[in-house]
Amino acid sequence: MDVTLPLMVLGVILLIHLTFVNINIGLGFYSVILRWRSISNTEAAKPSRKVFKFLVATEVVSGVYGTMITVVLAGFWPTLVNIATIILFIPLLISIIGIILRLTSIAAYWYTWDRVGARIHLAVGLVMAFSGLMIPAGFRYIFAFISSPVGLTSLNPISGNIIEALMNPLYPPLLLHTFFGALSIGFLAASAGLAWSSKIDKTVERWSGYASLIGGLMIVPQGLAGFWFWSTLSFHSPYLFASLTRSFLPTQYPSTDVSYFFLGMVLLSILILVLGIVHYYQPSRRWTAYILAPLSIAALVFGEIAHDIGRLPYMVIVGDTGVPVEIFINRLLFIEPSLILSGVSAILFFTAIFIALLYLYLIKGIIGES
Amino acid sequence: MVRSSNISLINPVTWKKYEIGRVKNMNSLGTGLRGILDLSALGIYIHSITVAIVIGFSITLTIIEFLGLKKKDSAFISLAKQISIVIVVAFVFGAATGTLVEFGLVQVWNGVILAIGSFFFTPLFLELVAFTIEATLLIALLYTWDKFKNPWTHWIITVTYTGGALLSGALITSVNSWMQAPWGTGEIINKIYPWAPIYGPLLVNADFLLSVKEALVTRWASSGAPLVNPTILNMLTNSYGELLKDPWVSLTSPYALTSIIHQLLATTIVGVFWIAGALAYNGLRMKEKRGYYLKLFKTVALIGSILLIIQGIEGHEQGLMVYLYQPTKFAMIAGLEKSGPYLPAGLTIFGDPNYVFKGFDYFMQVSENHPTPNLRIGGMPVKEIAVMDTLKAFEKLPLVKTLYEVKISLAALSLIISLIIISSFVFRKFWHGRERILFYGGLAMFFIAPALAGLGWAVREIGRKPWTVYGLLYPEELVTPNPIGLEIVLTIIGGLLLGLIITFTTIYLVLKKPPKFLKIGEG
Repeated sequence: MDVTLPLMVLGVILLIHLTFVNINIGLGFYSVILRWRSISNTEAAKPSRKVFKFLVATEVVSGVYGTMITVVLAGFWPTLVNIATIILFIPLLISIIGIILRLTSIAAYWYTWDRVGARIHLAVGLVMAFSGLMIPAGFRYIFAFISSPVGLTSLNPISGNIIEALMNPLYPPLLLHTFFGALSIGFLAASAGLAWSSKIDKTVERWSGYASLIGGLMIVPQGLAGFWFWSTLSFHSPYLFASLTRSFLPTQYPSTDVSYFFLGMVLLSILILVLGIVHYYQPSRRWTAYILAPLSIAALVFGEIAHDIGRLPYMVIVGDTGVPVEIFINRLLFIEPSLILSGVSAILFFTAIFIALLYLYLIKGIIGES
Repeated sequence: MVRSSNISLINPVTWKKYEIGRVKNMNSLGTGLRGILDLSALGIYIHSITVAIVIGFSITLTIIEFLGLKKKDSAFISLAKQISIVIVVAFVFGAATGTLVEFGLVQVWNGVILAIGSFFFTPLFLELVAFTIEATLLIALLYTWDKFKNPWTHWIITVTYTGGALLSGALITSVNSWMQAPWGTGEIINKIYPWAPIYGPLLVNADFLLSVKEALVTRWASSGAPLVNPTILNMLTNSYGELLKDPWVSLTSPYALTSIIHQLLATTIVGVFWIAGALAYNGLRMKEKRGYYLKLFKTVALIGSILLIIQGIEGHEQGLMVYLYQPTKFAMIAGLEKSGPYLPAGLTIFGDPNYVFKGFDYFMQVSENHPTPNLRIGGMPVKEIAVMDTLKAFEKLPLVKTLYEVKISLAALSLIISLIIISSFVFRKFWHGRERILFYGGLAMFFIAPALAGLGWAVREIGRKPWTVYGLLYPEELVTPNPIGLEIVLTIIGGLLLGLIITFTTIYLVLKKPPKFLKIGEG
């Protein structure tokens, strides 16, 4: 089977999933922070609710697309999924527990608002926010694993050390980079939403400014974690390191050049940092907030393209070489491209409907609360 | 034509080392296959609670909203809004437990990945579309109450959403059905078990499938999961070609089509009677609003009663499929230790109460007198495999028979209750002043309906043992090579229970104080 269509399907679904997941994680934390502030400053209650409403609406997309990734991966690359489920057994379990906690605590946080004491509600909110971090805490092991398959000792039969797999040196910097990135994107999305709300309710304007400041400043620790990840790649995944830096540093390996995506991500991040601070001082200039949210998503997309396309033609990188994508592709049956394309088209169509509804719900207020 | 493969998939030395390590792990940490099967069953049962709410409530919502709009009755609209909000809460938890079941499938039962990449690919891929429709329109459904000038526009969203939910349920049932009756495998299973039927045209690559099976039954490979690796699968595809010729096979099986109707009806009946039971409880509790709840209860209970009668008729079709495609399960249900008559099936299938059905004595006899005793899989004669597995299936007979008989007794009781509910629409005068009896009937069905469905599912799942894929694969061939420790089991059970508590607490809170935008009770 040709790998192009499966790779494109996976790429599209992964990017949509990661965009919404990152937004949701950050929104969860900002809602809880505002909820905490609302105990002493009642003005913060309203933006806290608004931010959480945004989260509830977008969580559906990230959840649905998360399920899709599992099915698409298992369907198109069954052997890779099997290797991951055997070797990364513990991380995947962490993610599953995170998903259960996250979804149930979102429901609990939503429906217990003003029905239980503020501190109890805040505690529920903290479970909701931190369980959001548990999910990438598990899944990021897969990304670390395919860049450096630590723990795998044999492919046939698949065997390895599931404890050793937890010691992947790429994982800590990648996870920190993900955490700070998610907080940055989510806070900037909150900033944009609150900036729009401030057109009719000036009281939320300052909270838009705070969100952009925190979201912008998150770029600093994210950049440090990113530098740590980048330097770790040079030792443990030299092929990917070469792909990221191909146009700027001399490399000894022939690799896929994604260095301009990598550079684009870095430059966008600097811009986000600057604009985030600018919006904090001038929150009435709403356009800065409107620009910041798509900029942060663009930085995410650039980063993921660099990270994931940079590994091609390999799926799993082993030092300066790797295991090609074709090795893992499903050849158990002929999958009709028309089936895939029509399915993906329907999925994207309904996603578009959802985003339109989200727009009407959050921004236009047409279907908002009376 | 089935023949033994000559490709060696395993390096004995490597596998030996691997197996020694695995057995060591299992002994020190593992809870064994029994525990893993129980854990999976628990996960599926808990997930099925939310499935019953999502599917059963969706059907009820569609009908109740229709009646509300048609009759311009605010009581029905209020009920519809309440149902919609419970669906949202259940959907969220259902997504969580569904994820757990999904991961359980790929993480704990790794060997199933081989089927996900082949037999299950199409239904699971289409399920993504259904799931997207469901998730998207559920949000639209909730937030667009009272927002359209023409309220029928909202009802169209409800209908489409319900269609997505039903489609999702149908596709997942088709996956389970393939494991019950592996359609497209032609004569392969019959060559191993001479009592087995032919599962449609041969749409799989027999050499490929037998090579996998052969490796699985060798003494080295007690878990099939490590077989699903690129080296082996690429070697097999290079030698034999694709495993599956028709990607639609699991959706075109007659067993799947009947199962889809049967399972969706069963799930819907549970959900409908949960609503009816809740209304009955309120009707009994609040005397001053008894008339209000009686009207709603009778309508919902009528839907459930009609569906239950349809299920009774459809149950015959499902039974016929079991008779045709799962001989050992049929014998377990009918208690046919020895061949003999089984009145209900004899009458309904052949119109002859004395019709002699084949029992385990026959299965053992044909297994021992195997038509191809020299055929070997993984070095083991198929005769031995057939005898051994038939005996394993026979061990389940007392349990399955008991479960089935309890189920049938409850079905008879629920049929009586349903007829009583229907009679309240015919003999209105008689029932005037006797409404409490109807309410008690509704309360009883609140518990009987899920018990019926749960027992039915248990019969369906235990009845296909000792196989996970009937006649082809055993659970131990598909399970993860990783040990499942007690800490993992407790974490998963804890997570499920915590989720259930949060869900029902949330449902209670939202019903007690519904969100303002729903304007419940303002009609």
